[in-house]
Amino acid sequence: MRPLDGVRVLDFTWVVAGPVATRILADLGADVIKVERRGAADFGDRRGGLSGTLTRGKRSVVLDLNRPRGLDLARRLAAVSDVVIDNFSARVMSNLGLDYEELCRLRPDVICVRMTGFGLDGPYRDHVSYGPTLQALTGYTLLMAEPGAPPAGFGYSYSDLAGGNLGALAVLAALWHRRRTGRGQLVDLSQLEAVASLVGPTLLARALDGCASTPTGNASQEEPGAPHGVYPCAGEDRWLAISVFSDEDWARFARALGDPEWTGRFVSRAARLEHAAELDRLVAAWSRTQVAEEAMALLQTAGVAAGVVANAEDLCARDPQLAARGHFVEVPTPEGRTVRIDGPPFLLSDTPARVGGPGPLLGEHTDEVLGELLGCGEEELRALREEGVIG
Amino acid sequence: MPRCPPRPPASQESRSWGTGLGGGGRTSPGRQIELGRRLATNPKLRKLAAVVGRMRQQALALRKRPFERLSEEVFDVQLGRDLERLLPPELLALGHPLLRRDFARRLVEGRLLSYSLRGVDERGRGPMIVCLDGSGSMEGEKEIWSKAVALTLLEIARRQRRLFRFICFSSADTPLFTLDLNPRERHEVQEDRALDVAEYFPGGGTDFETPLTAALGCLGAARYRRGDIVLITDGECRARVGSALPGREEAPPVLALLRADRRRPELVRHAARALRPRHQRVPAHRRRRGRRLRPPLMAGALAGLRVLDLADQKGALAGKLLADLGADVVLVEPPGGGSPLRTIPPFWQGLPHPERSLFFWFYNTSKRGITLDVARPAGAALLRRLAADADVLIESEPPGRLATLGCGPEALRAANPRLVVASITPFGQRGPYCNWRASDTVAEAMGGMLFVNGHQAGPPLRAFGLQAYHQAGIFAAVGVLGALFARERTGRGQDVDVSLQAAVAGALEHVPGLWHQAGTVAARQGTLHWTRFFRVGRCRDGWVMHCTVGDWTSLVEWVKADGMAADLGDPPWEDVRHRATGAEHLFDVLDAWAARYTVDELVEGAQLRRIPYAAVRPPEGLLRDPHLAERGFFVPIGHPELGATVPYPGPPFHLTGAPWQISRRPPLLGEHDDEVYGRIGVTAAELATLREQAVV
Repeated sequence: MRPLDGVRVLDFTWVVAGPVATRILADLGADVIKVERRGAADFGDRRGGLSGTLTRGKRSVVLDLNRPRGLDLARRLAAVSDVVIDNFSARVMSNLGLDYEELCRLRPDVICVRMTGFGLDGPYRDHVSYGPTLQALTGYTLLMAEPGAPPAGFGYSYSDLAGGNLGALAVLAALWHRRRTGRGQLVDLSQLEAVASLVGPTLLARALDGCASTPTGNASQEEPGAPHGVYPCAGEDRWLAISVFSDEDWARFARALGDPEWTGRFVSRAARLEHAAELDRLVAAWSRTQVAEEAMALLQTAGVAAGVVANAEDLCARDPQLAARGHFVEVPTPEGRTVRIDGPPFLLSDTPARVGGPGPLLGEHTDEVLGELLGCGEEELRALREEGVIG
Repeated sequence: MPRCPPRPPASQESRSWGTGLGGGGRTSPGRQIELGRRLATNPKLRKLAAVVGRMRQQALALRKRPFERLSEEVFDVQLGRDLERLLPPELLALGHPLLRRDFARRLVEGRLLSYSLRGVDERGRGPMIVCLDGSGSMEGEKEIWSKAVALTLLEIARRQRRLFRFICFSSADTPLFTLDLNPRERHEVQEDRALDVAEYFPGGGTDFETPLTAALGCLGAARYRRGDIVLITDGECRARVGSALPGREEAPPVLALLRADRRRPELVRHAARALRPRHQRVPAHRRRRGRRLRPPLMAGALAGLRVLDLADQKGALAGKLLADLGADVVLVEPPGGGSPLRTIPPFWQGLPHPERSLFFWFYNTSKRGITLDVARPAGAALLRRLAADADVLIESEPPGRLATLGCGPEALRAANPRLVVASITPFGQRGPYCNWRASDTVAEAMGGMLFVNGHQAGPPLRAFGLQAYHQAGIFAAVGVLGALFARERTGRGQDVDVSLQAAVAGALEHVPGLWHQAGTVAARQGTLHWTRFFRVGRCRDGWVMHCTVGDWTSLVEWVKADGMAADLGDPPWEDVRHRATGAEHLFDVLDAWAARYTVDELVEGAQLRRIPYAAVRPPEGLLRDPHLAERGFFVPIGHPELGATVPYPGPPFHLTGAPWQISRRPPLLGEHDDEVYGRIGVTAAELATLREQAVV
């Protein structure tokens, strides 16, 4: 039994942010029906890899929404769905006649989730956006830099993951509200606002002090601490993140290193913070002689927060803790292969959320879904397929 | 530059009319002339145009304060001296030479008409329906002023992108004059329709039932389901507004705007109260002048859920997410210094103090606060009593620590089988690293985020903001709701195990996928996005995010027109995959081209061509962003102890039927000890003893 058993989601989402939201719903047991069009571009192997992790456990239906009969099928599916979700720009669903007002006619308690770049109103509602552009607008790109150096920013669209994971929360909250009151609603998720809401206390500070933000590199953004940052280790592109805050942390750190003489100058937090740059150089001189994993184990055993800066291989193939959690699962495909897919990061003790299946092939479930939910018979499905209405 | 000849008066008014009616400066010259002609021949219209222009100026001037939420809803009309919230007719009195003395007298007497605000951050609200009294008694100046009010409301509706229906009524046997002023998809107003509003005046008697019934009937249609009715009249309305419409929790708010009649000052309050549904009436002694009334009329989505929040910064966002969505979240802090977050900078006015930490404030909106030392047996016993009555407990102790205090999930569910326990730890409850420590940086490292950020030749760079903690908080909230759904069927709570490391891994885009698909180890490559379609470039005065996916033809034509396209006009570049493989050269060419532009010029030019460029700006750019201002993203919350109003970032998403709200400012240390402990039966004397013992 899974938490969202019996909940059906009609999923018009595409690219990243929308599918990230609905994959969590699928992990929780919802029947997520992904509406796609023929010839939709994707990232390659639909069963696993980049694509499979986004579409894990979902069913795929191909409909031609530009044809009246295709649109009618979509409307009939919406009428039997609890949630209808998309991440198109604001006009698309309105143009299709699938906006909230229309969906209410089909099902008065529908939960309609619109994940747009800028929201359903406001002067920028029609602007086009992608993850990196929203990250640029919200300050992440500029401030992820070493002090005095050009901006670096995220190497990927973190904003899509933020919007998607928050989108899953939004759907769950709306479903909970409906369970309590019987009413659905429109959910207006602006990905700009979603990722802006995660900037953190800096926005409060800037609103009040009127100062200019400056990049802090790898310095701590929680309590001040030193040494704190990313230190080079032996080998090619191997690094160790270390965080020392209190004097007790420092004493443990120094002891783990064998109490070298230079540590004597930094017993107080004030001294460590004042001479942080020098401290970083001394720690780096030590870390360069260390294999990252061994230094991590040494420090953690001594009670110091330290972690290898994991690359993809570290993360997916070598990390024993993620393996112990079953974070990456081997998922069998109907073709007899197995694909490896990452699962939900939270574990429920009694009714687990889990990867429900591999990514679907394009249109893999069209007949199954239309037959099961709309009562379409074989003849009808064949005719629709010949006309190109379904795929 | 030659001086412009003085304009004739009619077209001066037509300009104020045009800009006052949502034309947005897009009125064609032909229409302007037509407007001018109509205005010139109708003296009433000329007067109205002047009044609308002035009123609009004054209304907008009042709204220019920073962080003013433009989507606040007018809740009640009252008499007072609150100059910040004068109704438009009062503004006009101020501007009128004959009425100025009357205004001054009523200011002294505290009898100016002002509105108080509901203060509910309600997005997606429906249209406005304005019912205007056109009966004989409204003739003359009242007609001008009341229509000016109606047209100013139209302007406000247009700015808020709300549909607007105008109903003019008089006696029962005069048909209602109804006009929809903006069609469904667009929020522009056609000037001649607004002029129709201005010119129509039926005169005769006054019947309120018909227009109000029509307005309510209008709300019954799906489009208007969540609209507001504004009634503008000088008469006393004894009409009873119908009972709640099906599908709505409460009857629609009806605001009565009355022009002050100096003989009947109580008319305003009476009519407003009479038109407000019974259960919403707040007795006068509980109404606060000029300040927001609480609680909101619509409960949050998670109203009724009771949450105990023992988490430190690793899990603080989880409680905030649930609290802002309406759950009753009680933050449990150690006595003495309180939560460790209270020591983390920045501080209000730069002075470190447990009640001044902006870091603490950000993560603790909408929560109540108590103190409790759970490490003491008496404290653990109190926690068990509190948990007996709760739906959810959130904690971030090292795995097993609460169990050693007799407050582990089994112990707590022995007394309350329905309790959901969410635990947020660096690596999870079990496994080889489960007792290891992590900061946000270490979690980002171990979760695979750090490695792919930063320049190729430089070190890996951590995220801006505590994103490992934030993702863990989001997944904890998701897991809690999942557990609550399961509880509906099983009747039992369960444990939610959130790992910072796994949460970071669940916030990656390409790292695991590329590895599993092709054995590729994603590397960092500065601002060049892993898809190779985005890269940061320099402009004259800053940085811009270039984008090569989207309307390629428009971009190339633009660059070509500037003579900087190099080989980008060649056909191979039209293929998006070629643009990815050739990204380095492509962006180098674009860098050279963009260097001549300022950031604003480049972004404006790009957005006009539907190319998604964006300014690379600091977070404080959000504070000045006009789009976010109109969306009401920043929410001012009062901290009365400091005499301050602080703008907080707003909702991560809008549940339009159950609005997000910061229901209270972050708690003072132990602020709600009395009420929370009182509720579980701790007497005042017992509480005093517990305080002496520093258990509380």
